[in-house]
Amino acid sequence: MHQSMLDYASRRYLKIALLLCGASVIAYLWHDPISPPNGGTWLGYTLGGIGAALILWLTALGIRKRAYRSSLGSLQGWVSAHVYLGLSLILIATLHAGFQVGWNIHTLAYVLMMLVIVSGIVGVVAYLRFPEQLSANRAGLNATQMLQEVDDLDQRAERLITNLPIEIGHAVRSAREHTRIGGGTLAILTSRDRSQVELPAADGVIRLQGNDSQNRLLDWLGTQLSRSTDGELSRRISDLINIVAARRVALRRLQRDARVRGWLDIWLYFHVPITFALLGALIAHVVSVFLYW
Amino acid sequence: MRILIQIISRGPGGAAETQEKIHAGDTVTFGRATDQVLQCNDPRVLLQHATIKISDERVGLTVNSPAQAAVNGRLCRDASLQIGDIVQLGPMLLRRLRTPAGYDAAFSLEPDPRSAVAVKDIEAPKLTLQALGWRKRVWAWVFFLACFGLGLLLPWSGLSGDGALLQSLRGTPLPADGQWSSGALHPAHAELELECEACHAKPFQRVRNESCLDCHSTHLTQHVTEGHPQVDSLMADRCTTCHIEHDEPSTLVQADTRLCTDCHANPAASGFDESVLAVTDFVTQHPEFQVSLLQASSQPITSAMAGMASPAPARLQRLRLDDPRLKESSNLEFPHKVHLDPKGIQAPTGDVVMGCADCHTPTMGGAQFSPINMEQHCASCHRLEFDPAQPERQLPHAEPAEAWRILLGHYSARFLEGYADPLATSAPNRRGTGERLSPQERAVRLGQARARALLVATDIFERRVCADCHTVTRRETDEGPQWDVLPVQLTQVFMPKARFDHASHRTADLACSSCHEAENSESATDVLMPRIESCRDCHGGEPGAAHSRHLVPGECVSCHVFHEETHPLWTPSAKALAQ
Repeated sequence: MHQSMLDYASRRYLKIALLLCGASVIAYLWHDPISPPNGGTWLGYTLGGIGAALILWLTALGIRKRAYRSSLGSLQGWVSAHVYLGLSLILIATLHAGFQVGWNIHTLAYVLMMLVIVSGIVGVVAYLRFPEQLSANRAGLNATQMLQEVDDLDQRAERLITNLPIEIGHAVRSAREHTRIGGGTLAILTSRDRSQVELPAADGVIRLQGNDSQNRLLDWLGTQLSRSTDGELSRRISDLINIVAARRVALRRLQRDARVRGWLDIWLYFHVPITFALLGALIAHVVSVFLYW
Repeated sequence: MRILIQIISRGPGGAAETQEKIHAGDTVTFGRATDQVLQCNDPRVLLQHATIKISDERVGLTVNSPAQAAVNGRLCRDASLQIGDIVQLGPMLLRRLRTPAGYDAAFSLEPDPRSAVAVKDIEAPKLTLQALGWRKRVWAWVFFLACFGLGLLLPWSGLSGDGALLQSLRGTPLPADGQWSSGALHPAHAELELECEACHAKPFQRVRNESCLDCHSTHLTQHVTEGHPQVDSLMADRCTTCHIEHDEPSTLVQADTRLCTDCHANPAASGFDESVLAVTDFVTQHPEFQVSLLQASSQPITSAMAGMASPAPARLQRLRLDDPRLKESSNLEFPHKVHLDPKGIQAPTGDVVMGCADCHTPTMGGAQFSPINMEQHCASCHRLEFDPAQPERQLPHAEPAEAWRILLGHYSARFLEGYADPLATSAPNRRGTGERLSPQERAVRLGQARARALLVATDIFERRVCADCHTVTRRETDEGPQWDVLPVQLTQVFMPKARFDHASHRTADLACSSCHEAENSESATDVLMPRIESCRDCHGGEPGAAHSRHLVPGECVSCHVFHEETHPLWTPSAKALAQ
C-alpha cells in the first residue's frame, strides 16, 4: 500500500521536529537574558546555528533527489524529514529573532524563509491531494496519448465533414482552429476554456462565438440535426455529434490533467528560486552580524 | 478455435506485404502491451485496447475505456462484427474477412492510410508551466545574486579604503550598511544612526570601549577606585555589556539586577570585607539602609574675649539605620515634636502652627532640600535681642566675639549717657547732656557697664538665647568667664549612595510623616530617615518576581548608580597594556 511521505517510518521525523520545537520553546521560556531576547544571546546564537544548519540541509534535498545512486537514506525519508524539519524552522527562526522584526536584511531572510515554507506547504497539500486525481483523470493514458486522442477525433471529423454541408464543415473546422485550452498560467490552474467557434449568429452573419467545452458547437449541430429531413444526412450529423462530444471529453481530460499538473508544479517555481534568495540573504545576515559585531 | 489473421504492412513505395498469423483460442486481444495477440506499438493505442471474442453465435468486439473504436465509421464500445465490417482501432484498420475453410474466423489488420494524413495545422496547446516559460534555475540565480550582492557585497565593498565609497552609497537609494541594523538606536544616539563606523570601527571586531569614550570621556566615572580588588573583572566587561543597542524595545541602561548581583550577591567572593553585605533583591535580600552622618566637631567656637575660630571640619560616619549607635550629633538642640505641635508654638507674633516645609524648602526641581540656616529658618522666632529697652537691636549670629563687643559697647555707651539701669543696684546717676564726666566717674560707669554686659551675656549665652539651640559651656579664665559654643553641622545628604527624588514621591496620600517620624522626635539626635521597610511598602524587587507582584519595580539602578561620581575615570588602557 502506498505510504504518504507524512507517515514515513511511523512519523519518525514528525517526532524529531516536535522534540526540537519543544526543546526550543522550553529553552526560550527558561532563558532570561539581560537584554530583550534576540539573536545575539547565547540561546540566540544556538537557535540561529540550528536554523542555519537546517536551512542548508533542507536545501540539500535538491542535490539528494538527483543523486540516484546515493545510499544516504531513502529519498522518501529525506522528503519526510524535509517537510517536518522545514516546518519546525517557523518556530526556531522566530525564537532566534526573539520576535524582533524590522526593515533590514535580517528580517528579509526571515520573510524569505517564511515564503519558502508557505510555498512548501502548498506543495505538500498538492502532493497529498492531486496524484490520485491525476491518475483517475488520465485513465491509463499518458500525456501524448491524450493529445493523440484529440488528434484522432479531429481526423475522423475531418473525414466526416467532406460529406456534409459546407457550413457544418466550416463550423467544425473553425471550432478546431479556435480551440483554446491552457496557454496561460491562470487558464491552466483554473481549467479555463477560451475556445471559440465561427457560427451564424441570430442575424445570420457568421461570427466568432464562445465555445466553452464545445457546447456552442454541439448545440448548433443538435439544431442542424433536428432540422434535417434527410435520413443519410441525419446519420452523418449524428456521427459528427458523437465525435465532437468525444472530443469534448478528451479536451476536458487534457485540461484537468494540465490543472492538476500545474498545481503539482507551480509551488516549486516559487519554492526553489525563493530558497536561493534565502540562501543569499542568509549569508548576508550571518556575515553582516559579525562584520558589524 | 483457429483464427486466421492477415497482417498487412505497406512498404515505402506502397507495396503491400501480407503476413499470416494463426491464433489458437477464442479471444483476440489488441493493444500496445507485449502480451496482446495483436500488438501495435503506437502511442495512440492503449496497453489493452480492445478484445474480440469469438463464439459460435457471434464475433463480439469490446473496447476498453477510454480507448475508442469506430465500426464502419461509427464510434462504439461494443459491437457484433459482421463479415466485411471495418473497425478503426487507433491508427489501424481491422477487417472481418470471410471465414476460410478450416478456420473459425478471419481478420486482416493494416495501417489506416488516412491516419498518416496531417489534418492538424494548429499548434499543440500549452498545457504545462514550463511550456509557458516558467523557469526555476534562472530565477534562483537572479534572486540569490540580488540578495547576496545587494545585501552584503555592495555595502561591504564600500567599507574598504577610507569609507568614502560607503558615504556616497548611503546617499543613493541603493541599500547601504543601514540594512544591517537589527533595530533602531536609542533616541540618545539617534544622530549616529547613519554613522555605523562611529561604533563599529573595524570589521569583524566587537564594539570597543574607546568608541564610547570618544564622546563620553568627559563625564564618565568608574564604579570603583583603581585599587579595588575587582578592577580586573570590571575591566573585562565592556560598555556594551550593560549598554546594549539595536534591540527592541530600546533600553540603553539595562536595569537587570543580575548585572549587579553578579558580584554583590557574594561580596566575600569578590574580595570585599565583611562590612559589605550581600544583596540579591530589594525585597528578599537587601541590607538595612546605611546613612552617612556628619559627626559635628567637638571643637567649640570659642567665645568672647579669645576671639573666634572657624569650626573644624566634621567627620563622616557610615551607620546602618538599625545600628544601636545611630545618633545624629549635629550639636544642635532641636526637638521636632515641639516645633510641629499641632496646637501651635509661641512666636513673637503669637502662636504659629508650623509645617515641615517652613524649614525644609525643596531645591529647584524638588529632588532635594535647601540647607537649613539660622537667619532664614529660625531667626524670625529665635530673635537675638538683648536689651528690652531697645528690642530692635539684635546680636549677630554665630559670632560670639562680635556679640560680646556689641554688648560691651552698647552698655558702655548707655552707662556713660547715664542710662537708668532697671536692674542695677546703684541709684541712677543722671546728669544733663553735654556734661563732662571726670575720669574717675567715667571709670566707675564703664566698670558698671562691663558688669552689666557680663550679666546680660551670661543670661544670653547660658540661659535665654544661645542655649535654646546650642551647647554652650562656660569657662572661667583670668579675664573673666568665656563661653564655648559647639558648631552646628547638619547632615545635608544622609544617603549619598542612593538617588531619591522627593518630587516624584510627592503624592496626595504621601505626607512627609509617612516616611519621616518627625512629630514624635524630641531630640535632634534622632535620625529621621526611613528604614528599608517603609520603601518596601510600595517597592518590590526584580520585576516579574512573585514577591514583587503588584509593587513598583525596584531594580538596583532605581536607586543606585553604577558610575560613582566619586570615582573619576581611571584609564584602563594603561593598566591593560601593562598586563
